[in-house]
Amino acid sequence: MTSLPPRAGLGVRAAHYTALLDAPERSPTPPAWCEVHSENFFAEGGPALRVLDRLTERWPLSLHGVGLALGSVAPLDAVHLARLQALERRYRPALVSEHLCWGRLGDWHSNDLLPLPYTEEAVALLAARVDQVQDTLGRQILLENVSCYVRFAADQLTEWEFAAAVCERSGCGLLLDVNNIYVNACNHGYDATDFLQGIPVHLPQEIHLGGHEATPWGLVDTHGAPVAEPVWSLYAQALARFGAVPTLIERDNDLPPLPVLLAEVARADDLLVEAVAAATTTTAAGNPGMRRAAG
Amino acid sequence: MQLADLQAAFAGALRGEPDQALLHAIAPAPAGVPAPDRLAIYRRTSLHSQRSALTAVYPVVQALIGEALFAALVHDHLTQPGSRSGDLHRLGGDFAHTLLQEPACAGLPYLAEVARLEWALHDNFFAADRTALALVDAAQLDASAQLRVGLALHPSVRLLAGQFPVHAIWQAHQPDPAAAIDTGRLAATDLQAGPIWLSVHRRAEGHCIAVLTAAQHALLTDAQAGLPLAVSLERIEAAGWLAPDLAECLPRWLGGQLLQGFALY
Repeated sequence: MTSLPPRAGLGVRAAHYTALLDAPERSPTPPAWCEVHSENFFAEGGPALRVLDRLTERWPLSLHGVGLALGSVAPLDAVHLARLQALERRYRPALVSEHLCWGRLGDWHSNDLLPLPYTEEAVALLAARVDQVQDTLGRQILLENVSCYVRFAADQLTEWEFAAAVCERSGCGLLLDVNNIYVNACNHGYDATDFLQGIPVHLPQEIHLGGHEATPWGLVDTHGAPVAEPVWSLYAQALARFGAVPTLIERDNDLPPLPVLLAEVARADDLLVEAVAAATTTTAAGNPGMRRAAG
Repeated sequence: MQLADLQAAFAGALRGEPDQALLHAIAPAPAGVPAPDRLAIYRRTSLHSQRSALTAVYPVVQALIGEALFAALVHDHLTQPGSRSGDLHRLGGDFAHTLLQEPACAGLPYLAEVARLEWALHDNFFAADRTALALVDAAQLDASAQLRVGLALHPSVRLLAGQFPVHAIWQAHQPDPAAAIDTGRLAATDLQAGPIWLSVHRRAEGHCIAVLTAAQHALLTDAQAGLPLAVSLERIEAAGWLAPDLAECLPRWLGGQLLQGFALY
């Protein structure tokens, strides 16, 4: 199992398979690693797995699931989990992640990342489900904070307290989506830096950067736009707090040509290299604060 | 509101209108955006993802009925039965059933069969590359073992039986440098030609759709059910069909990767 370098990676989508795989082998251009949606490779064979075979020959891999709906009261979908297990066994990725959300009622699926109330009941449910997944996979997973457009009167915790509680109780790591923090902070009226400060430094093992859009109903996390400047600023704050955490550029809609995304990857990579240098300087001055690479 | 009740109410709001209990459970937004408008973001996102998935699977169905009716039928399908998997690639296997229920599609009696062909083409994308059966050299088997030998098909093989030449309809709608939809070829297709049997499987170079005889279809169906070749041939004879010419079709199926070899059942 290869760990992710503390550098910038790319969320690889089908439209870019050819361009990415045909890039020169020793190109100095990022990405340093790749992430794919697990469900796109839930196959026993065929062309999808051949693509992933080729990707993993060149880059460390992170598997990011979008369909397990861990926070649903309904039991976990055993078939879905078995497919994830098979994929994990085949590729032994550096990281496996899912979301702090629900999405399933009985056998009905929303195919969306639906919001949970930040309550003790939801923490307990998620922690139990994470246990089940980690036991099945035989490894730690990460959970990603999601963008949300409603909050509940029943909330007992802040969003960051909720995320940290699930991670601490279950032993999973955090996939910190900085764009989602920004979107939620704007929509729900909190200071995004409070979120960063509320997360224990050891929890984040991966960061996501994506784009959002302004709508009459607030900011919407569309993954259909470049990373916004305020999100880049918040990302710099995250690196200052958490160190050089492997960072992904993700785009799912209105996909631009690959070089446009790779330019964003390069920008994140520059900030990561600076974070490593800053940590090295600090360490040399006597503070053992440099973050190890996630794995 | 307990988590189970909240999730039931939330799911109800995505499939219809939010109830009052849910609206009371949602905290006011600092910017004053009403809760129904914020719930609608989820409804749109969910529908967009699911509609995109179905559109990717059923481009020919959409071309045949037009975007507006297709969108309406997708909406119907997502309302009932809705998605049954967290993996969007598994969404829509029963879309043909929704098409059969729709009066506006009655003028296109072949539509559901086209949908079944498109699903077969989509579904076989995820199949294994090799059969899980232990292959044997049929020529080296003794007489008793010969009675147990059967066909080991490529795991991606999907078999279809219908009333319309949907392979020709599908072919007529494939991308063409000259025209997106070749209505000339579609017009030439004889929709009244009678029952048709098809196989669909995946090859290294792409999909293969083949027209079968009724007996060949039965032979391959029996193989997927694990029946030995000898038993299958007896069933075909009992049905009154002309037995498949194995000397002709078996080498062709082997060469075309539909058949991967022989196994003992």
